[in-house]
Amino acid sequence: MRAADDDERPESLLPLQPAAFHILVALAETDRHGYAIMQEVSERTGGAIRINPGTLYTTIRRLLDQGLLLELDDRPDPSEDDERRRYYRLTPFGRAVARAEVARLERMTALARQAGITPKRA
Amino acid sequence: MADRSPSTSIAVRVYDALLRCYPKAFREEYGRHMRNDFRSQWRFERAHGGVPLARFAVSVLADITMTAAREHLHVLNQDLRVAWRSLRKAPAFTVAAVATLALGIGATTAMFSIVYAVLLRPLPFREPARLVELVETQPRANIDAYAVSGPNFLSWRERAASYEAISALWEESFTFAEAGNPERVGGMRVSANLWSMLGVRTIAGRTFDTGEDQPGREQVALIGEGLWRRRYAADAGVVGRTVRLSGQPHTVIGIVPDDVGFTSGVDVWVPYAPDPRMPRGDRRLTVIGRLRPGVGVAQASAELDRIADALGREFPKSNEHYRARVRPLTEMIVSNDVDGALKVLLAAVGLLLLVACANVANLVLTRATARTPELTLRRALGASAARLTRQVLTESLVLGAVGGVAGIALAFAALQVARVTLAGELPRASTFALDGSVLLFALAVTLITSVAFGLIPAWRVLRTDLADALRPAGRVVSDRSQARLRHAFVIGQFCLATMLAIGATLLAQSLARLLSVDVGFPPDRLMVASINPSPDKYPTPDHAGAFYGRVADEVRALPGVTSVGLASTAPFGSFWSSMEMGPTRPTAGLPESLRTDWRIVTSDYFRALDVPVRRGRLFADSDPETLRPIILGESVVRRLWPDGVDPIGQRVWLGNGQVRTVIGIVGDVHQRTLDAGRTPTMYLPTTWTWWPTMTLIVRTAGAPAPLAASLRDAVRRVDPDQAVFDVRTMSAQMQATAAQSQLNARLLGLFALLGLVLGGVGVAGVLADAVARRRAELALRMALGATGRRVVREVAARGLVLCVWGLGLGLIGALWLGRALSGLLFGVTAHDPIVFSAVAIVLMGVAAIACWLPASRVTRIDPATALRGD
Repeated sequence: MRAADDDERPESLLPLQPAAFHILVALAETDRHGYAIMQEVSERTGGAIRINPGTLYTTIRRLLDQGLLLELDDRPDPSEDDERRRYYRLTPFGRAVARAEVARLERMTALARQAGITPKRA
Repeated sequence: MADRSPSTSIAVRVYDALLRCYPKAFREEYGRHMRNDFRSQWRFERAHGGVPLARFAVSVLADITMTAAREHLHVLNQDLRVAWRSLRKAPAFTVAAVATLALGIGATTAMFSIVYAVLLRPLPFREPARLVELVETQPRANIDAYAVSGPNFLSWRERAASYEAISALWEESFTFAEAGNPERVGGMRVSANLWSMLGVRTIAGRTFDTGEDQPGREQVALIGEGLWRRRYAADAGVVGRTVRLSGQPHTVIGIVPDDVGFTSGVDVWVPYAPDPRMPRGDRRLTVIGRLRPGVGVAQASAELDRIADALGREFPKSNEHYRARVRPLTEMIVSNDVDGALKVLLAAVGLLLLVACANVANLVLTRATARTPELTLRRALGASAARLTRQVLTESLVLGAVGGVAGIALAFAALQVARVTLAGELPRASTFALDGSVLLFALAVTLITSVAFGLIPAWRVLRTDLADALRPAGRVVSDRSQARLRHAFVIGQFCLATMLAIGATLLAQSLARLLSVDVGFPPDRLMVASINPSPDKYPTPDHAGAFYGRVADEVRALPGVTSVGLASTAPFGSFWSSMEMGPTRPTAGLPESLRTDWRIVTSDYFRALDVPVRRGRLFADSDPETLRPIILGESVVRRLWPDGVDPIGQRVWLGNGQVRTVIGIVGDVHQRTLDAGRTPTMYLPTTWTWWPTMTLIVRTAGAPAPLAASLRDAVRRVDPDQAVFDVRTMSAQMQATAAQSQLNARLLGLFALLGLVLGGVGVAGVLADAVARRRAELALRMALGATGRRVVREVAARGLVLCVWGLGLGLIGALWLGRALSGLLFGVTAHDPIVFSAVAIVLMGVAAIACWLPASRVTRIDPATALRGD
């Protein structure tokens, strides 16, 4: 586990891998445990994106190393099976990185739109 | 929400097992959560049926495979960075270890690669294990390999059932000419089936067809790759052209590779079938066969011996007491002395590898010991045993990898050099290449050494009680036993280095004796050159005599030439001829008959060589044909008439049936090799006959080498179509027979030098480490009044004691090793006391320097700083 270096700029970690981005987004509003993150991602994307435990925890491990997440103590989740689960929280640096990624994606999207590439609306 | 269904518990158990794919640390941190999340996921999918369970299972499996692999890479990457950082913090250690590894791996690999190329690499034939040589033997005379006579070869081919094919070969050199420009080339007459039997592909064209060795059809030739590249610049258009071989036209039908292993220097191959009317006792052919599948050498040998036994009864005159046997082709290629020498060199390089291993072990042990406190602390802070072990292991592996790469580069460079410099001295030099299996072996040996000795301290840290280990006093025990181990390595290194040094010195001494041996004539200022006039142009001895006479006159007229002689072969030449002879008609095996070398010479031969005439006179042109004169070397006379009968005027019988009269006795000379002693020789006059190839022996007033060009010109002035070959100084020809000894001495010298350097580095390293650890103690002693010189002496003495032990053991080892070496020595015994003492003195000098250098650093310790710092 490593705190973000003071001089580390959020942009230096871009682009984020999709799984990392989804995890950051899932934690934007509240702390969640692993399974809750998986559910949240699945719900937000209407089931299009599913993250399995392997991808989830290797990504979490890396995000922790990079100082984007914080690990909280285990506590039970009454809405699940009351087993003790470990919760994760977005750090300010993590939020900054997520923001930078959004900005990057917007710039890319803008570029594409300028070139006349727009998604078809159903 | 509880789901106790069996399918869920099975799925969770399987998932649990799969979690083992992840690195242990990761599993311990996240395994429980992953399992819980998976169970929740599984229940959810079962309950809601969003995705078919099978598809879900597959996606989970793929997820584990991918992420586990990535996680392992992450850990490895982390370990590598840590190892690299820690190695960079200890540059002296890293450089020494890498250099030692590179040297050990590089030298061993290069040497083994050479030996492999010369001796061990499978011959470039189809199924080489089934290829054998068939030889005649004479068990009564203890002769286990004779050449084969033509009629015997034909009988074998008819009667033996063990072979798919057998072929006869007969070496012969030719004057190769196309559009003038004659050149002397090595050649081989071979059965037409040889190439198909070997299974060698031509580079261009075809090999001989069946029956092309029959009379009338044999005017075809194959040329070797070397000649093809040299003379035709690798132009395949030469196939189909007509060339002249010693005057006879031959059509070139194909080009064959040079590396056929059992022979070298063959440029031309022509078909040959032995004439059944040849005398059965004329044994001159090499016979190679391919065994039928499933037939062993022993079985084939027994069959051949039965056939030879039968032939002995059928043809008692020529074949009585002769038997036959079969041996693997490889045995024929590697002569016993090359085999012995290369084995000694292999042993030497093996010793060098051991020295390198000891050095690496020592370095790694020193370093790991120095890191014991760090490792102990990290363990106390919670690092797992696996984690620490892996850390040490990774560092060793990084070291090994860097050293290995450097070693490969070194071996590669060494082989490039060897390919050029050894081309004349070892067969198949052009095929020297880095040998993968040897490289792996050397890498493995050094890596195992470095890893094993790197792990010893790590394991010790894991075994010891933490509380004990953290107390400074607790380290003393392990320090002491590791110091003992390091001392043992220094002793071992010095012991091996001593053995190498003694071996190298013995060989160097032997070489010096060999090169300064008295050969019976002054070899300086002598030039030799061979000529082989084409029999078409000079069909009779008279024609040849006239040709040689004019050549001798032309050469004698060259400035700087003092005398010119001719001989069927010069001393140290490539061709030896010998015959039975005696004071009565010789019969094989009788004690009074003697096998001596014979040479056909002009009288000027003795003047040019400057061989003393002991009694009688030399040949004269006026000698009548009926006199049949012969000149004998003095050792022949001593053997034939030991009781002092005056040999002049005596008659001798020769193996070819001639009876000749002794007219003169000359001094003995070395005819064959430097180490074989002087050769009993008889000399026949050129009035009897000329040999197809004659060698000019030219004595000069000044340095002979510059004469080579004008010598060729002189022959060309007489006849521009006749090639002059083997033009060289007598010294060069003489030293060529000692090439193997020179190679042995040079290589062993190199290994000994490397061994000595490594040994020196080893003892210096241990002492430097000891000085560093004992800084405070040494500083205190100096602060208390001990002089710097005295402390230096004491420290150096500790190292010297180790060296003396190593030296002593090495001397004993060298005594034992001497037995293996004695076969390679000339004029010096394997236990030569002068060599042993000289080596001991030099090695003690090296040891003194290696000990003094690190010890002298003691005086640079500033007592105040050292005492404060510890």
